[in-house]
Amino acid sequence: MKESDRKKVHEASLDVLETVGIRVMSKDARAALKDAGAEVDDSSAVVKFPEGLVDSLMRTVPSKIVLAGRTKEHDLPLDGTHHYYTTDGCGIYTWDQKTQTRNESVLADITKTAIIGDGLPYLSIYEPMVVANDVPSKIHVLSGVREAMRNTSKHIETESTTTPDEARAQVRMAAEVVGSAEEMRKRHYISAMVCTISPLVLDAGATDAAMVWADNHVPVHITGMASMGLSGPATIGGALTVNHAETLALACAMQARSPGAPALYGSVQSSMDARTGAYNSGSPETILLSIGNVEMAKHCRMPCSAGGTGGSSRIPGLRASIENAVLSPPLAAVGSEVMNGIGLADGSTLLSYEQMILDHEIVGLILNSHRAIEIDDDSLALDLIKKVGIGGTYLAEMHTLKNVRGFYSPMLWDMSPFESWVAGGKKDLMDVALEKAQKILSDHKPEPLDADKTKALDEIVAGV
Amino acid sequence: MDEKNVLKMLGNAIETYDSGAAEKAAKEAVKSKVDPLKAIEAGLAPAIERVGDKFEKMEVYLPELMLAADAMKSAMTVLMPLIPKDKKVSKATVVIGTVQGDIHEIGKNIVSNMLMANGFDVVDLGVNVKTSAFVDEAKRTKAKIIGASALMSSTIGSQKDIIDYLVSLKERKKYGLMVGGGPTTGEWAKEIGADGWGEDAASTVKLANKLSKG
Ligand code: B12
Repeated sequence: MKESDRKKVHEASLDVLETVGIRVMSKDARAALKDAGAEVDDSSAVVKFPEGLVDSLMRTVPSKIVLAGRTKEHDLPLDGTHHYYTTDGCGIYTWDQKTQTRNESVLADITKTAIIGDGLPYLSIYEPMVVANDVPSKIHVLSGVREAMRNTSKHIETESTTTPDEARAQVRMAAEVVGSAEEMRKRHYISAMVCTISPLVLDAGATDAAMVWADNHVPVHITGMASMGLSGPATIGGALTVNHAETLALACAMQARSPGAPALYGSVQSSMDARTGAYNSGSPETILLSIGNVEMAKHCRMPCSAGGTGGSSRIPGLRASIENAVLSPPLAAVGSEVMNGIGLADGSTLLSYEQMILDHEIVGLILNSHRAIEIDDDSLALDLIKKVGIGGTYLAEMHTLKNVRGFYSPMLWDMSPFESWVAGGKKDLMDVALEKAQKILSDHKPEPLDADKTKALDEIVAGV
Repeated sequence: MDEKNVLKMLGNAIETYDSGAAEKAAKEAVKSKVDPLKAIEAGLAPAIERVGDKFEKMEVYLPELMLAADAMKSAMTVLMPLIPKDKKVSKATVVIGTVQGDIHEIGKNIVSNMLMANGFDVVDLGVNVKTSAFVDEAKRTKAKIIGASALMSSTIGSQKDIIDYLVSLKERKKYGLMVGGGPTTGEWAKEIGADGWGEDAASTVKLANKLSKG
């Protein structure tokens, strides 16, 4: 997009917020916006933003934040120069490759994927990957977050919070792990995804929760989902505009409530299947929308977590991998900071351990090919070029030895010949991936969470 | 205008997805004293069915279907008030909604529109609908069919609650219960004792046709 186009989208969104407004079902958010100067009609819950209000509220959104891990080595600065990947979240089935069936997902899937995720080098953020269908629904979210906190030291993103109480409980959990509520305000150990309801609605429960997140400075991934043709216009420009208006509105509500509350531009837009309206997250339109989201995030200086992997293939494997390998590289290229979702197929509903590893390989390839090319004396190697001269080889050079370790080395395959593959039993990549997942699960030992903290988490979950 | 041309005009309006033309055709029907029931059954209904067939053959897309449904509604608004109460035009009343705790509505709205376009009286209760409200509304509107949409594993249980509630009232047999939404499956529908599962809008219309007869 050209600078002038980004401006057009921004101004169109401001126009929408000023003339049409947005329905804000959360009383708390409406009250905060009213105090800040918005025009609020409590009977219809519609909030309109007079000229200038959005831009002035947006001024306090921090443009750089650090998503913290349980341990400092996993801290993730969002300063516009890094790319990180998350696990996808909130699936409802688990794939069984042997029988080619899907089963209801359970709590153990969260535990296991958290351990595996902890051991995967290119995964930065763990989001509970499935819903634990074997625990009571009122503790679905909390028990998933607890398993995550216990089994990985990486940053945790929580997805399905739909009540303020659920948010409060998670804030307490994070404070226990980090040490105190004050410390947690500074160390953003958890972040939360909050969806808007396109077009132009902010839900009651999730937005009430967003106010709790704002109070406690838990970063919120503002996740607009306007789908082209369905809940947004069927053109990229229009769909971006609806989404931008929603994102600004929620970011403003958070600032009105608690100035300086961290928020990310976290859109997951898609196109509908033109025939049935089905959710299609693997389309070229999806990529274009995500690119637009990243550009709009930068336009208003927000950290961004738009797009990533997570296509619509109904089963894991070839199609899912093709979709994911195509979806993500353009986003890394335009500078999305947090990219969503390894490991789920079928529009974020189906967990596959195989796909988790396949996607991780894809992500490894992407991250390693989207690096700045550094030119300095050592990388130019002019002396060495002169030394080796015409003909000869660089193989037995110290410079080579020093640098060759940095080459990307795939986890799932190597360069051994065809015969080795035959001798190895002609393994399919899906089988190799599953073996790899199982190996990480048995060998990798995540840094344990202190016993007293574990106990405190258990008490919070049990107290709900 | 003679009856044949009026019926053609009605059908054309639907098949060109034109609400304005549909309303105009309906008014022309009234002016030309075409029996309103006939205008619906011989003019509008076959046209919307043709659009539905094309949709199933992938010749037209969802927007065509929704626009045809809108055109159908525009014509019906003119014609319905003129039909005497005792002459039944609707195939059946369907009470539909998204279950308690769930606010996903896109799929439910598509289904509800398609049912309406196919001659059902649809009472759409919206989202986050209480179990008892499905049943109360079905009673009040003398509905034959209840449709419950649920998009989350944590909310599909409410579909079963509706059935349990009906059983506890000893009124299970009175209604055909259809369920749908992302995480639901045909097996799930069977397991909870629903009368059918709708994978998408087109198959739901077929299902509703079946249930309205039985
Ligand atoms: C769009 C969407 C949203 C939108 C909804 C907008 C709206 N106005 O409806 C928004 C962003 C608001 C949203 C919110 C949430 N969502 Co949501 N959402 C989706 C998404 C991406 C697509 C759903 C959709 O619209 N599909 C398109 C329509 C056309 O398809 P459909 O609904 O299946 O309908 C068809 C058929 O099922 C059938 N049908 C539908 N209804 C009926 C009814 C009857 C009677 C019959 C017969 C047939 C039938 O016909 C339809 C037409 O073909 C799904 C992912 C997915 N792959 O499905 C997640 C998904 C359903 N959401 C999910 C979650 C977790 C949430 C939130 C909790 C997230 C949050 N952090 O806030 C909240 C829910 C709040 C609440 N209390 O309900 C999870 C659910 C996981 C689970 N536990 O089961 C999913 C699976 C995504 C994921 N993995 O994270 N979501």
